[in-house]
Amino acid sequence: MKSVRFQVNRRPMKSSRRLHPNENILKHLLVLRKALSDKRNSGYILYSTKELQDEVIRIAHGVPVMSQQTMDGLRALFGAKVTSCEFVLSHGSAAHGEENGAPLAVGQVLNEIHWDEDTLEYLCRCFSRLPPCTVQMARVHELGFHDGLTYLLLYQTAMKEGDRFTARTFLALQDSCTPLERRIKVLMLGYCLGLIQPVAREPKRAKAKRQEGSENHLSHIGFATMILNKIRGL
Amino acid sequence: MGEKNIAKILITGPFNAGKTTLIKFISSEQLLSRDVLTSDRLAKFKPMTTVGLDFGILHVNEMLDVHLFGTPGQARFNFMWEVLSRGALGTIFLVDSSSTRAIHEGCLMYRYYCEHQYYHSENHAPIVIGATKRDVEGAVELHRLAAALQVPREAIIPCDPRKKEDSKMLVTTLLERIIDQGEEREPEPEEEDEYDAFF
Repeated sequence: MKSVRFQVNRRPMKSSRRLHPNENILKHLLVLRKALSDKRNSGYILYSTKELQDEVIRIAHGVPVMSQQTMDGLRALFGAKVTSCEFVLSHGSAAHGEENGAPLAVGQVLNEIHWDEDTLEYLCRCFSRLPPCTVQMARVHELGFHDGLTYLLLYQTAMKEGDRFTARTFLALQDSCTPLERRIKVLMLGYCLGLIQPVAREPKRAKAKRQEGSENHLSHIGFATMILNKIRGL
Repeated sequence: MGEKNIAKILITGPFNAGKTTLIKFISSEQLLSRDVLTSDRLAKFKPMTTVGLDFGILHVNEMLDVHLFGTPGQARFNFMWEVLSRGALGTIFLVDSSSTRAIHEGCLMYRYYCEHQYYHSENHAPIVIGATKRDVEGAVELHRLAAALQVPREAIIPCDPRKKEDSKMLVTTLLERIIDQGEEREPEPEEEDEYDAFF
């Protein structure tokens, strides 16, 4: 059997902030997202948690394969318990074609999952890092997910904000509007199933201008501090 | 030796508020201030007034000079802000609190300034409002001045630009706000390439 592995970028993050041990959950979810969007190939997500080594979630032509192993794997992935994972593409395996797909598995696992406060806070922080994105309208109950109302809220918020919309905006909504856990669930669902897509890349010129503005701002603070010291000494 | 950096601070506000005086106290050298006889209906309030602009330089160190620009006080010169405020660290807005005419004009100028800042400034440079001539009979209460300018009472600092300490206090308040605002500002996302990393 010929295997081709692809992994997400494992370069360390540049942030000086202390990272959660599982800070890379978005990277793990990205592996699932890519596996689910690959309708031509089959393979398996090879993952490890603190307790388990080299477990697999099998994916056949973009659909999780129905099994307890798959459901457990998705639970570990969504529960932020996975410490490393990668997708291994399989070519020439006849078995995959005969297996039952579970297209609703992602939605079903997300319906049942609950996070403690620390994990919620951590997930909130991770999703806040997503760049501006668009949200595609979808009948999420057809994907096995029950909370269509919160997904609709996500869609409406994204429509309202247009190109400026980020997950951070949605996460900043009041809890009285919809509890944080439900908002994170729809973000996770949308992200994994590819319903959340990045907006078009910022043109290089605009990006350079924004960065220049940011640098100017930092120099302003430095100047202000120097002037302040001078004025106090006058 | 590298090129010297120049920072800019704008001193503005309606006629007869003390802008020229403030620049005089803060500058290491005052290069330009052209006072002429007041020619319009405001002549009865002040015999001499600034035309063009006030300009002073404060030498901070070998790396940095501050250019202090004072705009003319008449509302008809509002257009000069657009030019002068570009790239400014911040603005000190002075209002003569003893004159209802000055307060009225100050409201118009302040509104113009806020709109101008909102639409044109990339950095939303902070502004500090100083209420001058508090010792003059008939000076309005600060809360009334705040209501007229539509700002919180705490945003207005009573001061007398003829006193060096008051002038210093206004400038230091502005600088502290610039620093605070910079520290509150969210850092730009660190991106090796944020799109590739997440999608």
